[in-house]
Amino acid sequence: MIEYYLFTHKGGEQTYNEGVFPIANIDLSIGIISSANLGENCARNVRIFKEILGSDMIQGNLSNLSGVIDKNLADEAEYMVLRISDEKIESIRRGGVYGKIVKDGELKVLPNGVMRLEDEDRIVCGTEEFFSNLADESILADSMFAESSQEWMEYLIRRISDVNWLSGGNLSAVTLIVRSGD
Amino acid sequence: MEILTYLFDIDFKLGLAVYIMIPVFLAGVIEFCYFLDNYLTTYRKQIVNSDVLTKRQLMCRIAYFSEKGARKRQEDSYYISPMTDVSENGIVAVVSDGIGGLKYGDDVSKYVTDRIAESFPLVFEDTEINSTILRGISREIYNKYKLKGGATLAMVHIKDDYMNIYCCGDSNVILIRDGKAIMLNTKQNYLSVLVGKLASNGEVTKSAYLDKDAKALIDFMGNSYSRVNRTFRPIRIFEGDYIIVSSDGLTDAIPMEKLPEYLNKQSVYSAERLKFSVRSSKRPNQDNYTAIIIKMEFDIF
Repeated sequence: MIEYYLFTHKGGEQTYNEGVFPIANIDLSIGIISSANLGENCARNVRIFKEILGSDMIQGNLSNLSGVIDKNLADEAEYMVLRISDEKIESIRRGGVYGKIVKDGELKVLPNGVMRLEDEDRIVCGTEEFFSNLADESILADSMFAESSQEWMEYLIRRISDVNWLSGGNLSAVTLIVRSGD
Repeated sequence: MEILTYLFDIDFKLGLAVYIMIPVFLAGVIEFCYFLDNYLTTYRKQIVNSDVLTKRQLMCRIAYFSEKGARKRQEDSYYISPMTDVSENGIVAVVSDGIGGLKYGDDVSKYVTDRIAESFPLVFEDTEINSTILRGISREIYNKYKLKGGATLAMVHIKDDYMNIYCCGDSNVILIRDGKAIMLNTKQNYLSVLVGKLASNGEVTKSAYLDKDAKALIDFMGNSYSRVNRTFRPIRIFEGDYIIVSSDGLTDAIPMEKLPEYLNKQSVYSAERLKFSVRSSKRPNQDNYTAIIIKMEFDIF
């Protein structure tokens, strides 16, 4: 089982223009799109991204999905799509949306492609804006303290808030915990 | 004249010999160093392969200070576990800060560290057991003092190159790595609640920091049912890491981001610099300040 918690916040902006979309099929898939470089094209790109993720393509090969997304979104669009099960995580990404994984007491960058997972592995994915005020060591410590994905996210939000009162740009992120032992 | 020529000849030969010997000697020294390095590396590989020693051991160099500041009594308390059987039991370092304004603040912080000392050694691998012990201590305090005293808890348990953290209240466990200070533990104060509320409503959180009760503790040792936060799995630590377990008296006087400036290669000098810096600042309302400074270093082999 995968436990996850989504967080979206408009920050100091007037509106929230990004998107975090969970799609539960056989495996859980999650798409995150950043508004950082999209400007006025933001709403259109987020809508297209959501439509693609909502189609049957989400169940197919992620490389093919990446090709479709790249073809339909603006060149400057930054996004990440991940598919996760108890055994593995597969991800594709472009630009400043990325993930980090806690494994064996260390925090590592989530690589593109497939990675094996074990019980209690913890993953956080988000936009560059989300990660910009978080040190790796604090992400790691918070993940180790948290009993749930929601609690982990709350700790991270508190840290961002301590830096800028959540008054920066839009924030989009998801925390995931593998519970294959349940 | 012949004698002079003879002496000159001897002098010249001696000089030439010394001239040649210097680089030969230096080359010999360098070669010996290479040999020694190679020998130690091979020796290490052999003992690693033979499972006598699975990896190079990280060691804790520990120093501490505990001062009253401008307060009349010392309400901080600390405990550092014995250095015997470190490979078996690890090192436990605790700072407990008695809640000011309550009648038994000093008694309670002392009670916390004394009871942890009695409970040592703790099982490194099972933080739930230790958390239960700590909650039990908190319950004992509640039964004894009935909320007339309370204390915070910041505790690390280090074994090899891993560390577990336990905390209750708002004391500090700070990691200093690569010249940056990072607060590792979560703070159980009202500010966290306010930030959580505002964030979930999609609002900016500035007002939370202006709230007069923001720093109020929502949990502490001695509360009726304390939640002792702990790491579910240990955090990896590395050579050169500094870990500071401290009461908030230290971070009130020295901003956290400035802490790396006070650190020396040796933990004892680092502790001295921090202590004298707080002492010399002569802040009129300086709280008690206590810190345990741990530097992680490799052993010789």
